[in-house]
Amino acid sequence: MEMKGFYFSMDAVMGLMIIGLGAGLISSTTQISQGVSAEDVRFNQYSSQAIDISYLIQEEDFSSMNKTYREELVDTTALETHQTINIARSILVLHENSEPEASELAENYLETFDYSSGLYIEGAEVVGVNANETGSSSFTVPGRNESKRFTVVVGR
Amino acid sequence: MVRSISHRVKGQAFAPDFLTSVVILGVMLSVFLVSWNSIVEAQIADQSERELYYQGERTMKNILNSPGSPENWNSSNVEVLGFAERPHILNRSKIEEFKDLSRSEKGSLLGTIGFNLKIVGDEVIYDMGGDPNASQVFSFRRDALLNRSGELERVEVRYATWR
Repeated sequence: MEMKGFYFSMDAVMGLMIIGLGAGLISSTTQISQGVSAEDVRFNQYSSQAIDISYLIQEEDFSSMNKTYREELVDTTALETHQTINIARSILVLHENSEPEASELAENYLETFDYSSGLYIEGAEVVGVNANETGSSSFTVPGRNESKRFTVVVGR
Repeated sequence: MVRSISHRVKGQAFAPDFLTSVVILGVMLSVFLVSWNSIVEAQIADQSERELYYQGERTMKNILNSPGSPENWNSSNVEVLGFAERPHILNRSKIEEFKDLSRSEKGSLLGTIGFNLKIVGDEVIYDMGGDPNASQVFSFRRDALLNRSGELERVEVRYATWR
């Protein structure tokens, strides 16, 4: 009886040790930080483009697109020539005047970039983006009465 | 008689237990050491990969957003690299000053030996550095504006780094 008890204890201890070691190895392997994943790279690309658009849209004028496009908008909408100093300002003027050309202008501009991009002003959709993974960037543009928050969303 | 039986029983109990435990412990230790080594090696490789990637990302951010140091640097006094007049607006003369540096000076400022930096627009192309010749290469692509005597031109900034 004493020997049986002794063997049983040894078996249990050894079994527990093996299980513990295995569990420890699995746990440590899963917790080890991975290298750079494809998901990290994609998210970085989307975020980077959102940041790039945020800066460029406040600096570029219509020369990044068709120049006659500006004249068309000035002729047919509430947009005035002095308000076309940059694309962001032009979009905001059109948006504040509820002109449907705001979406059209934003869409045409965003198409000059690589990934699908959307634009929101104070949360209202100007150009939507249908994507599962996205990166975004926000900035403010001086409006008629107050500054408005633009959010650029990029994804695929 | 009683003493000798007792002695034999002790020996039978001890020897198989001892041998079994030594064998099991040896197997366990071997498995552990092999696994541990492979885990540590994989972790070091992953760490190295992450460092290369994030260093490349930081380099791109500095190039696009920082004027560098000193602020009006040229090829003879540059300490920290940066091409920006304002965030995302690149100064053409700084790019040309950087282009004039030797390969090792460029690498020293970028913090890597293996690199390729291209700035491509409709009117300009700057191509600096070598061709990627490593198994681990990270490429970055950003959009920026190049100030060409007051006229802003959209350019693609492409940076590849490897080791």
